Amino acid sequence: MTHPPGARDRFEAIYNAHYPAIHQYAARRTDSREDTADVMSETFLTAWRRIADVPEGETALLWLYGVACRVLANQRRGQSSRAGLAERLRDESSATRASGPDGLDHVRVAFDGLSARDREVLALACWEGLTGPEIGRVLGCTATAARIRLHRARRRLARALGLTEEDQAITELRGESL
Amino acid sequence: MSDIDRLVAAIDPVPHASEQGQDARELFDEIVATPVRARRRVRWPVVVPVATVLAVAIVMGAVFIPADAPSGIAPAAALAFQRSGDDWIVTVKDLYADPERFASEFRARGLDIRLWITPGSPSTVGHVTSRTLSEGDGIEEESVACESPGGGCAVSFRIPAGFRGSEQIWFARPARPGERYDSAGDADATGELLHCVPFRGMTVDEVRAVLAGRDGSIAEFRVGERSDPAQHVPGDWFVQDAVPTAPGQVIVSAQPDRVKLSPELTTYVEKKMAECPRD
Repeated sequence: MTHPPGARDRFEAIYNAHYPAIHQYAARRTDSREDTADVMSETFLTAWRRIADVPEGETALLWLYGVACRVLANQRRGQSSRAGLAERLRDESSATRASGPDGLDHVRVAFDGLSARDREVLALACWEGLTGPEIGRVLGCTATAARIRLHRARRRLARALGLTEEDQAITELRGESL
Repeated sequence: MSDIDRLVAAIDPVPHASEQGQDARELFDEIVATPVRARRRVRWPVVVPVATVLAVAIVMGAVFIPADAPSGIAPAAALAFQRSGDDWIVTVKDLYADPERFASEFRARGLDIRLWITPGSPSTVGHVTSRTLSEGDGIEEESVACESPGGGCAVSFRIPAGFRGSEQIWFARPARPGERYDSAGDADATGELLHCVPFRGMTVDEVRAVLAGRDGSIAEFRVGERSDPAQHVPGDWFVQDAVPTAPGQVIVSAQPDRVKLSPELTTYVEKKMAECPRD
């Protein structure tokens, strides 16, 4: 099986348009240049193989984020299954890597203390700047579910930081006061 | 952007995108030189095309897969388990079953999974509204052909047969008369009371009039920075947001000043309205 004519041009356009954003996405979530490069090559290789599935327009970026997200999950699974001492040491060093003289270390600690799931939804909203429906498309859930996840993640981070979060977009009613 | 969002943005480990250099070019050349293999089946989130949204202007109701008539003498199971390779495909057969029944049927297969099926506003019906999962647990929603106002809906889950973790899943079903929603979608989502109404920024009186025409009403208001409950507000106040709380009822956040929509919200509303029939 080969791609139809024009597939290469389309892939090139997608690649050039979204490489920087996907690179940034991957770099934010990996500890080394090698891991970032792995995520890049696997994500775009998937896009090349499945070029017919890549949606048109800006949605292509969300599709690529979704692929990169799965690639990262696989990468992490591979790492945790190796679970060697070296990996653990590296995890520890990466925890201290991000500290800076900006007085935000308490935020990093609180953020790192969240579940991977909460971190991902917050990162998609605050680093990639995605909206609820867009997050839903990346994570493969409904816009509502994404909003609920985001809301909960914000609340948990606020709690971890000792802040009360005022958020008007409340969608979870169960036992909650609006 | 909330304070929390600002804090998270401030700890962005890679705040600037890097230039597309030689590495990027080499990767591109390598990739396009890769032979293309046969396609694998793609799992991609349920995407509801605009046309489908338009077509699904159906009245809410119990729109789930009909439970199969129980055969034999055993009591009908709340869940159906079907083996698919290394996974179970679990389909909810009885939306109104006691959560304990779900738990015991999962337990019978060695799975520690709790499932709550609770009343949700129309656009959330048929969807998982919340989960407490650890990343990569392998549990996924399976989309099946059923109709809900939101389009695709998932009433089945794919669960690795070897799953040994613990998971809780909340799933929305239609509300019965008198029930309040446990989960709510956007008040203007398809199937909701304010669908196709650009209510954000309208006055309270205007929204009230629209609702009255749809057999709906405002249950309560929320006002001020702390979102305090209020029974009444002046009719010329402006509506910030609305949340469905029970069939025919919304809670409205209102303020005395005109509402300024963020650019993202404006785009979102414009997109939503583009799907609506024009008068």
